[in-house]
Amino acid sequence: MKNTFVLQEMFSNLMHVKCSNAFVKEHNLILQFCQKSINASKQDFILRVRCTWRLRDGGQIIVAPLNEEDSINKKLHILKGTILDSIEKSPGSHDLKLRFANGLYIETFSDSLMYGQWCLENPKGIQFLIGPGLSPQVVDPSETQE
Amino acid sequence: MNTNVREKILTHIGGQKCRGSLAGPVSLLILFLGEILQQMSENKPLRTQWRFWIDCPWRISDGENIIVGYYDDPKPIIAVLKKLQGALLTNVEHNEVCHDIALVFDNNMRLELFSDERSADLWELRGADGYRYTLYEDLEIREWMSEPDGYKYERTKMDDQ
Repeated sequence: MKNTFVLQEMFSNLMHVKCSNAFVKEHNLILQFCQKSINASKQDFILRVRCTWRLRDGGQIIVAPLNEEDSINKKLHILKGTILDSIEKSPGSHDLKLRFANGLYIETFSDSLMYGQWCLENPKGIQFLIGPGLSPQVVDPSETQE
Repeated sequence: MNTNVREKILTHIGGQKCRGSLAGPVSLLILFLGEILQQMSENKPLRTQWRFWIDCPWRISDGENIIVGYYDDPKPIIAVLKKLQGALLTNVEHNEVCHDIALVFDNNMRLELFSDERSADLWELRGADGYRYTLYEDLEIREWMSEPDGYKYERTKMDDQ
């Protein structure tokens, strides 16, 4: 219940926030979202996707995680500066669907019970992650510090 | 042609029994469906009336939860695929945007496919008579005829005589 509430709050805060960066690093898709703030670097939401994903525009796939990182990153550049219009999570599979204002979509596809699928971190460092076996977990660094 | 993907697949393999499967490297998966044309010994491949050939991300759910995905180790994949053996294909779900499809079986298992750029052919329904119904990497679906199964073997055998 707590996990669901945390995620709903994160999704709500992400609405209409600008994607400040999108790239692939060490086989993970990383999307950064920047809230309006003077100190932007401390206001980033970060979505890390380990599982399969695709970037599409209508019915065309623009890029999926199969090419060289440089090639993927060039295509992901199209997301920079774009406002996130909506984000949805499928209840059973935890697949994500992010729709951007310019008509682009990022869709994830959970593909394993052995590995984490994706992780969303808010500016406070609280992480919501879909871990191995597809179980949702919340990690709050303030609760683990003395 | 694209609008009737569900009906097209169901026309051919709806109600057919899954006779076996073969999981290859990365995302390769072959389902053997329908009448068994050649009863092979254990160490030889099965030959059936239909094959569903997959080379894109896939996963299997029990109707509610995912029970295995292509990224898992071979051992759980093989164990889950064994549960598909003997199940009847009862439905096909089709997403028209990227041609993601789900094959639904009578034991509530669902094989879900996710289109990406992995391969020249993302999935293909193959008939033993040479029938092909293919989703290509450009997300175009084409229906065509290839050589029937065993054609090359039989021709070579005849040529030798």
